[in-house]
Amino acid sequence: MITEISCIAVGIPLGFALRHRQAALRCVDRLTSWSIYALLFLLGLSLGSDDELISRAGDLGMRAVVISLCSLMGSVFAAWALQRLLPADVFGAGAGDEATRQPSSHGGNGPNDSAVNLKPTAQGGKTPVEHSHEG
Amino acid sequence: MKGSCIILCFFLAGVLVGRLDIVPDAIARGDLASWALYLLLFVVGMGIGFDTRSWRILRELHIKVALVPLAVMAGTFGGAAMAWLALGDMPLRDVLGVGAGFGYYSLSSIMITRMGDAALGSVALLANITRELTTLLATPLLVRAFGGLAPVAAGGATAMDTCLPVIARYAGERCGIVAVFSGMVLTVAVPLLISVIFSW
Repeated sequence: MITEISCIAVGIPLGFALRHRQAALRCVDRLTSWSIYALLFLLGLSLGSDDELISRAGDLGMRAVVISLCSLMGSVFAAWALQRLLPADVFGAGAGDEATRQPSSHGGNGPNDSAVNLKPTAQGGKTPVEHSHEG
Repeated sequence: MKGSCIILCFFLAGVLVGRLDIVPDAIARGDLASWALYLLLFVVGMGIGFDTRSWRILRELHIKVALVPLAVMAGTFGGAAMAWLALGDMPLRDVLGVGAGFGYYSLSSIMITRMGDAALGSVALLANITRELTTLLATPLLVRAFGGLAPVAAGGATAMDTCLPVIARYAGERCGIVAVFSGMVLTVAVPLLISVIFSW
């Protein structure tokens, strides 16, 4: 556990320091993708070479779907409860609601004049993280 | 989506090569994989450091936005505990570990394979891909039934990238910004929570 967490802990400040270097962004992006490919290939390899695991594939898939849907619904329920507990202006409302088109009560944070850009930008440092879930 | 397909192809190619029995077992279990994991965690950490948007979001929006990823974590573990009761024959630790992937299937399945076993790693891969796909498909429905934060929660760590376009479209721009923040916090939380859960 200590080794795993240290690896990340060393990476974060280094990434922060190098965040304006395009070459570093590209390099990290590529390394992330290929280490994920290699490790998932190895995961497939250990699954495929194990006859007992292959015979349980359907059972494993069923477990995955049950855990996935229960976790998803649990988190959706928690978010729904949170949204009801907090004042409406904190998160705005769903699409089509008036609230999303008006500036919020705490001044200038309306969706249109927000300085936070949803779209990844070239120098925004989004590139490496953007691919991190998918490799 | 293209990235998900490439990853699945590598995984399936591994299964196929494993079936053919042409590669010695030692490779899959050797030190190579451990070092590859440490390298991956290191570059994931650097990727987190590159991205400073979450601080800007915290400054701009209400500080209570920070409650969203916490609620997602609590809800996910609550739901995973229900799954544990429903399945009946799996250790609670394993079920919580799979849930702690929050949709980040590449890293969670790899870490769980190393810290648990290949069977559980495969469950984590499928479970977290299912979570991402369900969010992509069900977002319009979730927004209508449970409000704008629902797809942000459902997407978990993927709310900041893969699921972001669909969230911003159906739940509004503001929920999209919350999604980036929540997704980033959960992305950091995945490796930390999994290491803690599997070192019990």
